[in-house]
Amino acid sequence: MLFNSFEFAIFLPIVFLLYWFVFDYAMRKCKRQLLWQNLFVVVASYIFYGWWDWRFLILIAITTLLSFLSGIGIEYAPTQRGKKAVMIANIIVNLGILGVYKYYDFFATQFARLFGIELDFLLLHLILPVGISFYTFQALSYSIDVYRKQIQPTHDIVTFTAFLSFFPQLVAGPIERATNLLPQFQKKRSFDYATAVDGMRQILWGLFKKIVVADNCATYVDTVFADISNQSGSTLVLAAILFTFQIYGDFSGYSDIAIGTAKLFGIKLMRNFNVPYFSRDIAEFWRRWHISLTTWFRDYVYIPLGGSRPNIPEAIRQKGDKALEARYTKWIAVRNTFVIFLLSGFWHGANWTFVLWGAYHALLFVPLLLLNKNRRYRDTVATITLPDGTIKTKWLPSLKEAGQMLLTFALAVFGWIIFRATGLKTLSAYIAGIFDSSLFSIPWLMNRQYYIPLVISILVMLLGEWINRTKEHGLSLNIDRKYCRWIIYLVIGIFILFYICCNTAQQEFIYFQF
Amino acid sequence: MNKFFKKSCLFIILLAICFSAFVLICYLCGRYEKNLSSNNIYIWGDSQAYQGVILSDLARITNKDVLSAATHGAGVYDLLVFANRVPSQSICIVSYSQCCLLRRKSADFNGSGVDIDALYSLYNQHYTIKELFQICTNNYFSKKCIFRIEDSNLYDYLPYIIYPEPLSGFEKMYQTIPAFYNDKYDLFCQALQIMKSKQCQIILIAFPYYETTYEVYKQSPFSDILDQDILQASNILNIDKIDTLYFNDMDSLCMHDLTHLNNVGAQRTTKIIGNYVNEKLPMSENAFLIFNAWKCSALN
Repeated sequence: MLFNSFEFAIFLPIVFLLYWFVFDYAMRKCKRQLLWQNLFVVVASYIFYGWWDWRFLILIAITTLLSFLSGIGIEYAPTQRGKKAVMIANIIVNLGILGVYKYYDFFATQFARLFGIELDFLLLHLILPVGISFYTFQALSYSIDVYRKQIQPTHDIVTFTAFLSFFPQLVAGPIERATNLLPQFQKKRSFDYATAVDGMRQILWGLFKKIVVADNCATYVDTVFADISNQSGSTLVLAAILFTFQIYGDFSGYSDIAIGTAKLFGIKLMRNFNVPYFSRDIAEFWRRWHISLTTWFRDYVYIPLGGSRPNIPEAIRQKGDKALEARYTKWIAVRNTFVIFLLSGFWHGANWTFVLWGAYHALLFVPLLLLNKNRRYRDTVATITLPDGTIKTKWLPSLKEAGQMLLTFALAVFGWIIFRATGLKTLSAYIAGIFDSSLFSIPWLMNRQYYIPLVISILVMLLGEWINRTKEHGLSLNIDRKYCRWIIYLVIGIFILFYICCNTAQQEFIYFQF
Repeated sequence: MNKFFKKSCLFIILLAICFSAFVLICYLCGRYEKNLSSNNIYIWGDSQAYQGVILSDLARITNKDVLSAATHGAGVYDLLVFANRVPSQSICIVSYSQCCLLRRKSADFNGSGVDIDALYSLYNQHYTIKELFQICTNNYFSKKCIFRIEDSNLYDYLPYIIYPEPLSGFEKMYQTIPAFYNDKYDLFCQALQIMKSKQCQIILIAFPYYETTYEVYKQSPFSDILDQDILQASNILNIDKIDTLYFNDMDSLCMHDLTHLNNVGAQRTTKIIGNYVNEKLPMSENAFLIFNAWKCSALN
């Protein structure tokens, strides 16, 4: 079930009403009210997920059961080694399932090419279950956190299933941590008016970004990418820029809808995007883009590998050479950076272009790391922190900041070309096509009815995000007059309905395929 | 909770009312044309006509007001609406485009407003209810008037051809005649018939292709059939026909891409159409284009 579908528009109010009126208010005197409410969340989530293909439910049920049992196994294992063995077994099985469904055919193809073997009998042609990477990573984080004793394992399978399959974030994140989400399912939720209203606003903003911005960009981008060889350089550049907005509108739009929907149910999900295109360098960009994935890799891969402060081996320490130790530390940090960027790229899909995309960003990140400038910008651009801790925003960035943002944006655009290309040949054709004499020609613009509303919608999105860059989403309006707020909501709503009617073909969210 | 529930309902109701009002205004505005004089020239066509005629130039040459309903991807439904809306005894320049007839139905523009007569014609030509419904939904936001008098954004002159659409696409298009071709062709003829019944002077124009596209077309197994069909239609309906498909000296500088003229080509083609309307026949354009411009014998 897509968030931008008619089915979801029916599904959400029904689930919302049942959740609060039947499983909360009507059962308030029932001792097992929380259990029933969580069970209802599970049923609703399974209906939501099974809407694609009921067979996907088997896989998520297996992952749920294994991870749940692994938590108990870790708790009851008598020795530390035993606990570790249970955790590793769970990781292997979960990654094994992910590997078979997502990467097996890719590796089989590469293997067959390398050794010149007939391919057909090697391939499984499995359908990739929607969102498998997201819930697998969430399941892994649970067993690792239990092993690390950051959370107590739950003995309640219903609560655990609700945590792993909670429908707003099931198919494309944010990849939640058990430490954040599981406790919320373990205690009684109460309806909070302000949170619910903010959730509605965030849903509205997410739908705007998805339906109005991303889907319209997709029309142009898909046409250009379908026939790269016959496009002028300027058209290819424009398509790359529009894809940059498309993927942001698509994915952050999804995240906004997911977080907003969760708020309606009294659940607070972690933030997944924090105005990444207003970043002043690539390191800041990665602190603001797909936060739940980058922090996952940081916590479960980067830091265990030593991060940027690895343990110095005894052999080096004994030499007492501080310069050598510093060099070793740098080397490990660079290695770990490459590892997480390559893994992050490969997480997106079984294609060399994703790996290359990861490597490209690692190459941009490493110089900042080596110069110790990767943590320069931890605040938000064009803001002043007052002595009392409040953050004051400026209307415009300085010239330097604007230049930095533009450069970072340009670097991100180039990265998205790598990301969007279907293969290495396409990628090289695209890049060669850009650096052509036609780079300075007028790009193909479809027609005025298309590009004028598109430009306006992109500007509205950027303006909304810029004004509210220190807040959670672009529609966190700070306007006192209620009717002004309502007019803005209605205009955005009309925009969304207009494009729902115009674009009759529903566009899937890009990140569903990952 | 109650407050939230009430406010949510209020928002949904307000949104529904505002959106319905918006749709209604768009719908009602799409129902009428104003100030349409029979002394004007009316143009219909798809992107070839949109990019291929400079309205201000044509108005100057012919000394008439020129109104164009040409738009990208225009289909037979749009032509039927055009035919229903043009006033009697006017001059109608209709672009004959194979793409219009061979393009799948759902890819047509179909955005000329809701026209019951045109929809009924489509229904009689085996369009499904779903397809008709789709046309209606396309036209929630139809323009107030299908005609425009301002010039289109012409393609600037470039010293080379650009390829927004691949040649292979045309090869594929001409390989098989789709099942709906006959339905579309019949609707095309019906629209011409409506204009004829209004005593309009109809000029059918086939806009030029770039030479490679034209070769693909001529080598396709159906080029003869397609040519024959349109010739037959023009014969039966007594329609003037300007054929610019044939070039003996293809100059790529006139074309923007495989099928669309650039501003230089549009300027020259407009001049030719203008001369034709002024009955300055036969014509040739500095030995640049050779036109098979003729009137059907039945017209004489």
